[in-house]
Amino acid sequence: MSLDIFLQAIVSGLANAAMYALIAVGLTLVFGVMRIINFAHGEFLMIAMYAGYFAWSLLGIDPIVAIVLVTPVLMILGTLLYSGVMRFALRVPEINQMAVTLGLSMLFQHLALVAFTGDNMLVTQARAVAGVELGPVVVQVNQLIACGISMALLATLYLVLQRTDFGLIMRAVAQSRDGAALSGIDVTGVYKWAMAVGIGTLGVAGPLLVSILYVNPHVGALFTLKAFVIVILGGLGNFTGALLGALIVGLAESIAGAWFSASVAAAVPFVILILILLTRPEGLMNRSRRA
Amino acid sequence: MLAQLAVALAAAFFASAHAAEPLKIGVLAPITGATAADGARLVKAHQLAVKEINAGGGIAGLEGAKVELLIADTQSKPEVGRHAAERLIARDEVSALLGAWASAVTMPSMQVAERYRTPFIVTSAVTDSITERNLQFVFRVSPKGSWAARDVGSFINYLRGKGVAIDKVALAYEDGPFGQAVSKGYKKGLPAQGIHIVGEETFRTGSPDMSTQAAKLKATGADLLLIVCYVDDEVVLLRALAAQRYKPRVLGYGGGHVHPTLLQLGPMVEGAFGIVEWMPDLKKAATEHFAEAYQAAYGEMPLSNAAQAYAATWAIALAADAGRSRDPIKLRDSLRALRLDSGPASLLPNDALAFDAAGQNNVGNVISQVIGGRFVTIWPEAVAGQSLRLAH
Repeated sequence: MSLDIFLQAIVSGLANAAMYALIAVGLTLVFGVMRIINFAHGEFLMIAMYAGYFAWSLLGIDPIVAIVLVTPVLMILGTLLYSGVMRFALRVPEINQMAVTLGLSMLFQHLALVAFTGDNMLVTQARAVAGVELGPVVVQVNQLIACGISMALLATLYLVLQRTDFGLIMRAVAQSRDGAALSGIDVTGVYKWAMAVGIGTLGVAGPLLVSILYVNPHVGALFTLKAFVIVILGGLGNFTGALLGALIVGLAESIAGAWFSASVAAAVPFVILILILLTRPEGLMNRSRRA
Repeated sequence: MLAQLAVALAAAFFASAHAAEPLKIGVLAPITGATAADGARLVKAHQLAVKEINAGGGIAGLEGAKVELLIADTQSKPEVGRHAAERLIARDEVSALLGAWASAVTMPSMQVAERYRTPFIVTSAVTDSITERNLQFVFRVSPKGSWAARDVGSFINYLRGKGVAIDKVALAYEDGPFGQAVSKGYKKGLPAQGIHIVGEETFRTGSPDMSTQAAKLKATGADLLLIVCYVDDEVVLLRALAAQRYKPRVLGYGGGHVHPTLLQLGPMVEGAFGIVEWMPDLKKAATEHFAEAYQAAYGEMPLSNAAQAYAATWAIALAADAGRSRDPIKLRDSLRALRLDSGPASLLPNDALAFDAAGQNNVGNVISQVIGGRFVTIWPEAVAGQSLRLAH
């Protein structure tokens, strides 16, 4: 493999990692605060992608601009998900919670199939086929845009979680639900916000992704498994862990893809996952957890 | 006397009820799951054939019996397909089975049919071994996957004959059973026809990014790129190639390459070739009829797999008619003897629909090209709807 190809793999891997991170942080945020694994995460991404597609095809809105419209919609869907489903799921055993979100995921896929058929829909703008040359490396314009917006959003989220009272409250609830409640924090309100932000991040990711890829009812599933690997790698519920996990998965996948056949390359993130879980079962960024 | 009349009436009633008992045909299709859109199209084609058969008075050889389709969802999953095949045969007592889209689902399902001694016509799966296992009840209307290499080789040499310089050919395929099987055929078949393969790249279905693969393909300097994948991956790959400002001629494989999704890409796919098993503009009377009827019924153009599903449905009905029996074993025997060189089942691009000793229909592929934002058949010239466009 020549150096040029290797550099191409690194740059593409980084661009993908930024998108993966954006998808994974929402998942990890919801888990961190509520201790619920949302298997329907990918389907909310799919909804956001359809929203981005229809904003472009029906209203002529550029997907980048559509983010401003789609994000509030996804945030509202997040709070509805909390008050309609998750609120009740909090009281039942974990296995039932999984069944609920898994069922939701299938429900959304089938509803999308009925509503939009199984066909792929594409956002076809001139820039979808344009590339930017960075020395020997070519990055697609849309990937570059997506990468930039993801990183900006991730940085903002990080600052909000670390530096504001809102972030402090969220982290407090994540650390100890009862402790936070005793300190007078409105735990239900925090849950609702965690869902709003966790699902809302997909409102940014969806329009960006649909301009790079395509959308069909099953597109969310392509990312759900990856998001889980990333989140578990970094440590469930850990924000910086998700970033690190995304970086590892994005780069590993891309570099392995340049070296090996695609099937071998696809297994590499899982091999890394197993190796890391063997040495650090709590994930890379989680300190050993209290019972 | 009244009693006698009642008996006679009852006898007449039961006789007619018996005569009207339909010929049951089971269809295995992915109604839900990853390939649901394809399943929906297959079912439409099966239903169109049945509608035509029944509207024409049913099956004459079975006293005008109507055809009844029993459609089962495989969910695109092998184990679900196998169970559905078992249920259709054992419980619903179908006379024959049709299906089951992907090879991975078809193979376990047809094993069930073989065990229960019920004919199974494979409509679209291309894995070679399906008709190489000496199975007695398995037939296939679609060509073997490896035949694509033979036809692509002939087409490349046809292009060379037209003065097109094609020296280096590269392969890009999805690294699953489908892509591996077809590209193995290319790697084996093309060098024998004097075509040099200079590089190959693989990717997983559903990859969100193929920049690295595109860069490596560009580095091979190939002037023709053979692509084997599903249409969603092809969109990602073609965009990545365009971003690299690398514009080889491309020839995609299968129905995925003659797919409406692709036309959404506009000028980027203009001139692209596709090797496909059937096209709605083939110059054959049966094709013309089918394309019109399908368009009238569903408001869209049929894809190649729809034509195969339609031909297979007609083949069963015509075999039942010729053999005057709905018994699965007799039906198998009449399928073997079938030779349809005219009529609705003759819409595929060979002289006649017929099954050889292994159950295989000897049918070639055709080459399509995107001309003016439409898919047009350009080769072989005998069935071509329009002539090749070489401006690049």
